[in-house]
Amino acid sequence: MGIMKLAAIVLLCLLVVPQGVLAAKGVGIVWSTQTEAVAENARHCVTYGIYNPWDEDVTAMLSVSSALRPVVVGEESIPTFLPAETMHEDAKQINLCFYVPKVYTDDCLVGNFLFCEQTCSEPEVRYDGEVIVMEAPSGSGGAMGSSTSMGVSAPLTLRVVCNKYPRDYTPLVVGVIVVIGAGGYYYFRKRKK
Amino acid sequence: MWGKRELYGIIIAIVLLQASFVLWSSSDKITGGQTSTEEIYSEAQIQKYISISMSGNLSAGIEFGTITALPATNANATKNYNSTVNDNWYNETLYWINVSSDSSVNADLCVKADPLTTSGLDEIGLGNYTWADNVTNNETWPSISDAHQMTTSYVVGSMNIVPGNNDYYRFWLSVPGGQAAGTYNNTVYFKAVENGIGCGL
Repeated sequence: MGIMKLAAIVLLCLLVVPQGVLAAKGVGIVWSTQTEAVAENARHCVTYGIYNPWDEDVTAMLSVSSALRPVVVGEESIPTFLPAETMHEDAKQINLCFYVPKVYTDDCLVGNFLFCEQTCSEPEVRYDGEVIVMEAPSGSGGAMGSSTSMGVSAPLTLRVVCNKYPRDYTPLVVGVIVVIGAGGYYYFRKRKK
Repeated sequence: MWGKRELYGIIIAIVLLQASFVLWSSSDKITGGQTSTEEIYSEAQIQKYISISMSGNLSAGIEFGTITALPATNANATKNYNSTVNDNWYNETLYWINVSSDSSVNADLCVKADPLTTSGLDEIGLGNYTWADNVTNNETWPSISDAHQMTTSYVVGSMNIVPGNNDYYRFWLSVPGGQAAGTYNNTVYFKAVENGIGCGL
């Protein structure tokens, strides 16, 4: 009698609870910054947390949108295993690094390397994009239709800082000292003879 | 050689120079009289987090089965309507996305897809693949009357979804007459973003 009752309850549960409610997997992202000031010719890293508060393990990948791709360093799309029930407080920390090249043109008197100054008169260079955590696509192997993939994203803007500096006459001063030194040396050598 | 007078003169000059330098460099400290300042470091960090999951049926993929009669108009995905009809369930969709209660911001949900092609690169235009979403799930909603065409860029669906709630989906596929036979596949992407910031690409 008891077994029959239990079987009936289990059967009823299976009928009432739709498929998919029992187990779920997902991805999450934790972010603490949306805008970063970065220097030219320098590496800059931002830390993100990725988590999976659901009841199935998942493998997730961190990536960046196309606007940030030219400045991201290394391979950012390394699959990361996220065990089930990893809440945001226990998120796995992923360091995402960027290398911003020289973007502001110096004003130089000779070529692009001598007697230069930077007035920072150009508009600010920004990279506006997003950091995305995606789960690898799943489902629909051979059947007509679509596999599905889900993700979450956080916005990120990199503002490239321009450092003003006055025209640098150091090479000229060094050059003059060298010329005077060399001239004096030859003058005294000649006088000795 | 230096005379005594010159030597004293040089020493006095150095002392005066040193004293004036010290006075100049510390002038900001002595003009205010008896004041003291304390520097207190202040910091506030704002952290945000968001997580979503797919229903098991959505995670398993969106299938349309075998379509034999062409042209086909708005063929339903196989889990658009739950066939179970009882007090609790009446033809609801089995496709949904849940915004985790372990999220700190409301979410906007965005959808995009790759081209729907066969391995031989025959293609059904994404304009024939439509979807609708709604936070209500019953026989009527999500409704084809609200349907969006699939595109290769993200399109926003339901917005401002509070953590802990679901967004429900239905999918339809139309196949023109004369479409080449084959198994057409693609990937549909779902993305959650913080409410109001836009879907991105």
